[in-house]
Amino acid sequence: MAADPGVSFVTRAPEKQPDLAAAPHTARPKVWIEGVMKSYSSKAVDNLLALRDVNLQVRPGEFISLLGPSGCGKTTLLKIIAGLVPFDSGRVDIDRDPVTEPSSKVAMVFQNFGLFPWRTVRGNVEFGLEAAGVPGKLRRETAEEYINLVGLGRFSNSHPSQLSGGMQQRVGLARALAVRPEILLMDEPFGALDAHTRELLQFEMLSILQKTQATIILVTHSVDEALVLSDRIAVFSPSPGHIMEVLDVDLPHPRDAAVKSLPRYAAMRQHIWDALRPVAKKDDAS
Amino acid sequence: MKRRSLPDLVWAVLGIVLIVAVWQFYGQLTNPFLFPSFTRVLGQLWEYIASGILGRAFVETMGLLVVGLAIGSVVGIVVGIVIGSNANLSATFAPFIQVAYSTPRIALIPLVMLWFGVGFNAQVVLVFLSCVFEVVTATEAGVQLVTKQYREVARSFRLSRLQTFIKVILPGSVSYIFSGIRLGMGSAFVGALGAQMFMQASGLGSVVKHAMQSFRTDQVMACVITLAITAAVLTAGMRRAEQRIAPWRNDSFDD
Ligand SMILES: Nc1ncnc2c1ncn2[C@@H]1O[C@H](COP(=O)(O)OP(=O)(O)OP(=O)(O)O)[C@@H](O)[C@H]1O
Ligand SMILES: [Mg+2]
Repeated sequence: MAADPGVSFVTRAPEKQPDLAAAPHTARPKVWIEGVMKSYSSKAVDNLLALRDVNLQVRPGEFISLLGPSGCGKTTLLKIIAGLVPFDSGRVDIDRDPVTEPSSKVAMVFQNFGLFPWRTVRGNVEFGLEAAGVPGKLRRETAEEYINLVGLGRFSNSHPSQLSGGMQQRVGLARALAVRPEILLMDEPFGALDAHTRELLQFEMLSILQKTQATIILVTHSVDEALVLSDRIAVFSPSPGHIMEVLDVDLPHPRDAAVKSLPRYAAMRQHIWDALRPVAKKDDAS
Repeated sequence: MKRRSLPDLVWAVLGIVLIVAVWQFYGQLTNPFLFPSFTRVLGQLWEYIASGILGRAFVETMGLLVVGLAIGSVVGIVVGIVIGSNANLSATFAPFIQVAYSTPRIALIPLVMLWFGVGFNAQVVLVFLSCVFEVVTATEAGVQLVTKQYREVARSFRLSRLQTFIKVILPGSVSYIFSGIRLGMGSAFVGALGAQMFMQASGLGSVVKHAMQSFRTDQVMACVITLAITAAVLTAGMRRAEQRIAPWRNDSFDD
């Protein structure tokens, strides 16, 4: 083992986890998740517990990853924050307001991009603005701005089917950013891409997102992806999902592929694998 | 794609030439009353065209087809959207529509005659019944698929129900609707011919019927060729229209 994984990576600074009642407005979490329980009932299974007592405070402007094994409820939690899925008990607040429906402060990037094939790139990026009632000219300009931001200026009039997977996902990102969300939710945004494109787009997305002030919540089951991108990582237990620990990723910014060769990176990576390991064993046993 | 189209065409022409050659050869050997040669059928076809019989019949049949298909499409789209938007309605009508869809609608001719008579309006009813279920089924499937695919995208961008319908469901379903109309057109053509043969004789149906009753195999075959070419052209036209409208969709609803 390269370094002692110990507890030193676990969120150390208690002042960074402010108590809602005591803290002034400035330190208030962007998203406050407390005691959230969620179970699904379907034809196949009745009352399947997906999330068990989930607690998390997302800080304004941070990049936090939800990391965990398949089926642990990461997507469920993300959709709860997005207001797309109701939960059974507990509370989920955005800026103190309980989440009951999709909020205008939130935008989402979908795993399979969710682009409209009948719309051009510009049409796709304008989609959220249309729904928000932004008038034509401003809508166009805003869309162009974000299309340029993701580096697709030349493809404004192309249709998604004419673009590669990586380019399509950048359209998805532009569409979400165009509504100027305070919180950006991403559910395995690189999941449908090949390994090479995935790696390229990760760093590119990082530099794009540095130009926004948005708080970012990313769902992933890749330890490397979480480490490379995040300020913090929330590690889930297997189903029923529960956040086991929240890690500070104190790797230097701005990040590029070189961070992966830092000893600190290797140590954190090892620590996370160790955290997930008993999980893997339990999986094998059952 | 471009590179393959030329050899494909060459093969298709070869196939046609081969079939025509065999046909011609066999037709000259055998009794022309049972199996007229290709040139004989061609001659009859020309006679039909020159006399204006075929042209008039063609217009009559197309008129019936277009009216019936138009009504069937409009009703089919509306019903398909309504059913496709509501899971309970969909479950309620699924068995009925499936049975209706797979029943040869020609069998409804006696009932249609009983209830609506044999005139043009009754024939339109038969054509309508022939195609409406195709359109309903395809539209319903399209609406359900698009809804499933984009419901969360639309909700996360806070679209109202009406906005979701106009901006997502409708444009997303158009290509499915077109596939339904194309399928419906095939059945509507069968329905129109059936109506014109077995109800009040008119159009191509009556020409076929007349040829059959006078034992003119060459005339029957000339009619069959006309029908085959018409159906092929109509279907190809619809396919092209579909591709125009939804170039991203290279799958098709039926095949
Ligand atoms: N709509 C649903 N109906 C019933 N059960 C569901 C539904 N959505 C999710 N589940 C169940 O809830 C649990 C958590 O699912 P979820 O999709 O949130 O997991 P995940 O962590 O995102 O997994 P993955 O990494 O595979 O995407 C799973 O057991 C899943 O089967
Ligand atoms: Mg998931």
